[in-house]
Amino acid sequence: MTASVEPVSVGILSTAHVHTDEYARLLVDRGDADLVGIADEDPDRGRETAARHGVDYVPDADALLERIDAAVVCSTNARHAAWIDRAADAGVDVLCEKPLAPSLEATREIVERRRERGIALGVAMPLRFSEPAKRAKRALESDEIGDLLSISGTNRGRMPGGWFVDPEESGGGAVMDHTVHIVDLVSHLTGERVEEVYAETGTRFHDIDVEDVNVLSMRLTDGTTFLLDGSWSKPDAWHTWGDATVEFVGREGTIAVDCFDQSVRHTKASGEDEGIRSVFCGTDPNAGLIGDFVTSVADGRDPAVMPEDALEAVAVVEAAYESAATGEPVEVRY
Amino acid sequence: MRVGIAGAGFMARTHIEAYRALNVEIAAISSPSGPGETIAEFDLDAEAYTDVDAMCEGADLDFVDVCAPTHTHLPIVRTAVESGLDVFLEKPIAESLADARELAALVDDADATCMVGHVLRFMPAYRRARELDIGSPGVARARRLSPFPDWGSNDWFSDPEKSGGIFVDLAIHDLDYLRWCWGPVDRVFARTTGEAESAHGFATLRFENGAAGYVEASWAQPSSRPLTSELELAGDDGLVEFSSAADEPYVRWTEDGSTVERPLARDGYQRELEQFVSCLESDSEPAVGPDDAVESLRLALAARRSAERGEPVSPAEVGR
Repeated sequence: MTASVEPVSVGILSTAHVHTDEYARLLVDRGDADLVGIADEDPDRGRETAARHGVDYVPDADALLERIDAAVVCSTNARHAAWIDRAADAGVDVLCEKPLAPSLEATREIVERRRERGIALGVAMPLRFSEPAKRAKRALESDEIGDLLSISGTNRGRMPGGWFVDPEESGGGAVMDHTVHIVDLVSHLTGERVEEVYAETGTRFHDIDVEDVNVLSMRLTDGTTFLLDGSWSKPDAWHTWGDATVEFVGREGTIAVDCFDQSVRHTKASGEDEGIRSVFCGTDPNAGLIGDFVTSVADGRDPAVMPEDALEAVAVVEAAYESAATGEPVEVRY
Repeated sequence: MRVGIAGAGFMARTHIEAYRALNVEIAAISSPSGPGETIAEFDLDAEAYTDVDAMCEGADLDFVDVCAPTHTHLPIVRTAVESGLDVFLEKPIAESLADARELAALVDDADATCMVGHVLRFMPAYRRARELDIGSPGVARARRLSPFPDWGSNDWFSDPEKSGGIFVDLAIHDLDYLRWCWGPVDRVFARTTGEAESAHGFATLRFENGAAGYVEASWAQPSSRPLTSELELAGDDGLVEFSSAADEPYVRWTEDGSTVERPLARDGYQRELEQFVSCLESDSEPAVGPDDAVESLRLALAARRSAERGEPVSPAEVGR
């Protein structure tokens, strides 16, 4: 790492995503980054978020872009491309929420334009920074459990509501929201791609316009089978937000990773948060994600997850929707 | 009540333990290689046979408990019901639908009482999970991960012609349980990897009521991993979760390692056998009859067919 004394100036473009506060807090806490300000399509929302973190709300996004080196895009899925374009016009590097875009075609356009414009573009895949997942990567790389037979993952959560259930803004429900994290992690850990997807989806938990059931039966390029449950099946009253797990069955052993199974149990006796909940106390993957992005900008290197990686995950999402529509397994087109 | 047990291996031992708590006398045991070792192990006062025909003819029995390899179920049940005996039968009912149907017809014609040991329906956690309110069904998750069962005589578990393979022998536990909870399944899509002794499979399910689910079953686990079972039933107004690995009611550590025990006054095997015996005493229908077990086999066979063909299969297509 180069000894850059100047902190990286960072802005947040749109605060639509539920992760915005988390990213803002992490940026404010960093010594090597300076959260300069927040721009938003929704001035009230943007102003409130900026106030919570003690930074400027900047009504004119282009004015903010002139002041920053890097931006975190926390918009709806449908608006990622427009924000990335705007940042690219100003020569600002971007970390973008996942999925990169709600369709494969739109994602391809982002990948192409990013190459033309020459900005750095990272995609928010925090699980790559999960310590249990990193431990699994070392184990798989050093062949601790032999050739893989099968993988079983989960990424369940609560139904997020808001724009996440508006197909115009999100592009879809649980399949769009909760497929890419584990698919990206499995690709990253195994070096294989998803070759074929069969999907069982549906809307069973909530009265919403998008699917909340997301059960995917996949096969990787090396023949390993891969089961993933990314449903929005956790009740709001559950003890935590959701889960991210992946189990690798090899010929010489099994490795089970539960990314958030380092927690303390907190019971509040009264008040708004009355009840029992698990509070994560492991190494924060989001901190790793933000740290990687900030240092990549400072050092002029690529961020950990490139748009080309994100495109692979979106290709799986698209194949899953096709399978759900046709009732047949679908080969993933990359 | 007097029982004759067909088989003297792992399941027979499990049932012998269960019978000790019930008012059932183990009158005879039959095993082709001779049941002497098992009789001695449990200090039983049981007659030893090497042939089920001879046992049914020679011993004074009320019912036969079939703990023999799956492919031998049909001939053993035929002998039993032709001898006028009732039958408790380990799961799965048979390896093929043809055998299963013939078996069900034999029982029906003989007017015998036959119960199939889908023991999950009697395991306290699974029983309680089904009773709890989750609203309308959404997604079911059931996993069963185990080392390969290397205790079968002549390694019969590794021969799909004898055991039926991973879906018919192992996943059928959870397939039967989920059918019992959420009703018939409309379509199945399944995948398998590994060879017979490292088989790992999973099947996604779409129930007729619209809910989705999946069953994962593994014989590919290392011997250090004890049988692990997990269950989740998620609905629009609640969630039930269970993991066998999470329950640790009794743990003992010594210099050599640690052991976990999960003691119950009456475990699932005792409960299912007790239910069967009480059906015989009261002349009532058992909880899992042959027709019900045929449907669970049909679902497991649909999974096997789907994995072979790489396409979704409707259980209704299997055997029609």
